[in-house]
Amino acid sequence: MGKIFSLKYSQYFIYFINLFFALFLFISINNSIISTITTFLFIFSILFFIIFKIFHYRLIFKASNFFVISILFIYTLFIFNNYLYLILVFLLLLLDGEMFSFLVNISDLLTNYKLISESDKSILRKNISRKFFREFFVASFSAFISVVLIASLRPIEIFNPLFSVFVFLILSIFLVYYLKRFFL
Amino acid sequence: MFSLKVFTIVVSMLILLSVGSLLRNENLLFLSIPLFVYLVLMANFRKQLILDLEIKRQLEKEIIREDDELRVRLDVFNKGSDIDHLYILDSLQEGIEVVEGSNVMLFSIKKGERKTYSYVLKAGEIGKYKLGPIIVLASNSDGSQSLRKVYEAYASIKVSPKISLFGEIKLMPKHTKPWPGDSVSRSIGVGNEFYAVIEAKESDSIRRINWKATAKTGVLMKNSYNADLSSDVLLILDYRAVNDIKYKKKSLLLYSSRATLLISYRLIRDKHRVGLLVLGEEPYRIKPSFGRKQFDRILYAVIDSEPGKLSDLRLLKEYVSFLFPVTTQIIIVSPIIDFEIAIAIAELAKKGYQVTVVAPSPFENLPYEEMDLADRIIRIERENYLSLLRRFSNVLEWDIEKALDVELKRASEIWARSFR
Repeated sequence: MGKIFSLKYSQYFIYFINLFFALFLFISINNSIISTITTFLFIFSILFFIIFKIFHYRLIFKASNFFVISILFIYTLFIFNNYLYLILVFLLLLLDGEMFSFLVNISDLLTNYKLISESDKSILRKNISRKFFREFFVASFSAFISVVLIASLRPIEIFNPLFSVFVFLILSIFLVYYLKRFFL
Repeated sequence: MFSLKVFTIVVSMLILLSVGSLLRNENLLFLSIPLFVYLVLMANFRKQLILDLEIKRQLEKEIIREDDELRVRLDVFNKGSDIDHLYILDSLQEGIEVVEGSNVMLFSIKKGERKTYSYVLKAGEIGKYKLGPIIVLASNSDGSQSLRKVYEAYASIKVSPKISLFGEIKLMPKHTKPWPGDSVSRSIGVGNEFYAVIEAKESDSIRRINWKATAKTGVLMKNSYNADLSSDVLLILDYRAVNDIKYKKKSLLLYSSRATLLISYRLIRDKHRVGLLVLGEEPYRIKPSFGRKQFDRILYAVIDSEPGKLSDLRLLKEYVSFLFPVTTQIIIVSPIIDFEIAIAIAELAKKGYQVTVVAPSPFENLPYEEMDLADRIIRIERENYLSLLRRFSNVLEWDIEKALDVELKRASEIWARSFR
């Protein structure tokens, strides 16, 4: 049992837990269109997982998990009609994807975890916990700001089409500004 | 350069906005906001990442024995910016196992800081192993920027076989050299093997006198012995690519080189002069000599050998006879799976060389019925070649599962009977 629950399999745990939740939602919710879409996503995900097991190319495994997260996202849209819940679940999924990606990146290190010295282990634990904390903080803060932002815009919600265009334009301008300023 | 994460977030956000606008679904539009906020927060907390590292790898030793451990130390000096997550992977060749520490490490490093970490590795099989390149992935804590760099820092380690327990090899050389050794020669001299009772000379030691024979004959008689002398031995390692056959996931060449090293070590220890000829891409030769240094030369030559396609094996007899006198005893280590090598050995024997063949068997010890048709055909062909070679040379068909020294000892007893 100790061997199965070792750190080196943590990426697989996350993947299969996601897959289990997705399957649970797939079975419980009956909607022909969503079921068709998610069936394809399931097939892609499992196919990508098999390809990853053959070629050991990490990006493929990340893509496989991305499909499962997409399934969860689609069902989230279907289950929750309240945007506050939606935002929270959405950020949770983002956090899930990010941590999964991080664990996949350091999977070689986790494989050798038992062999490394205590000082190296503490350095590693410190780095991983810092990453987790940082991601959690950013995601929580994003959720908070988003909720405040949307709540402040709520009166405009009655002008539904106009609001869509407004949000689209504002976000596009900010997006271009930030991409140019910080990333490009 | 922004990372895949930023790209995914931007694309997801655009998809949500587009689909939300098309379907007039406000939930989808709202969902693009947290992504945007997330991106803005990432951008605001972001620091410019400069990846400029100086990485040095230090090895405890360059050569180790199989199953011995070797510590590798990596020294990292950061000349660039602060790095929140520095992921270093020291690539290891297949066959190397990490037994302590890790060849992969994740840590944060500040500008001008130096960090050192080490790991211990073990190589199970003899040969030459390559370490490197060192792959470095640097990213800031939010993962918005990541840089990858490959440092072309290579090192190699050589793994020699464990040879301390290898048993004695009884050679029966036709031609011996005058210096003392461990091989029983046909000439009379100082040794342990009783030869005959002969008439003693005045110069002989009184301890050698056989008093019973003297009493019977009335002449001073003495026991004479076969002299223990040494000989010149040439080891030929067949390292052609054609012999690169997998036996239980390991190359047969590995077994051949291992056998060559074990035999050479033992022969050198038994005071023989040992030379080497490797038949790889090009023939590589080491002149016969004595001593530990000679073994090191052989070891380096065998480990550095690369399997290749030797152009013409028929020239082997010319090459060997040109470089090594006919008094040299030849030991060939080859699985004998092709006709060319069988003919080459036959021609060497025809030239007058005393040839011994050590043939590692590429087949598991299975009955014919359980083998594939192709394997069955190759096995029958190989047995034909071996029976051809048995006519003019000593052949040991070595089952890899069994200890070589035990097999050699058993075979040499049989050869010794025919030699007498």
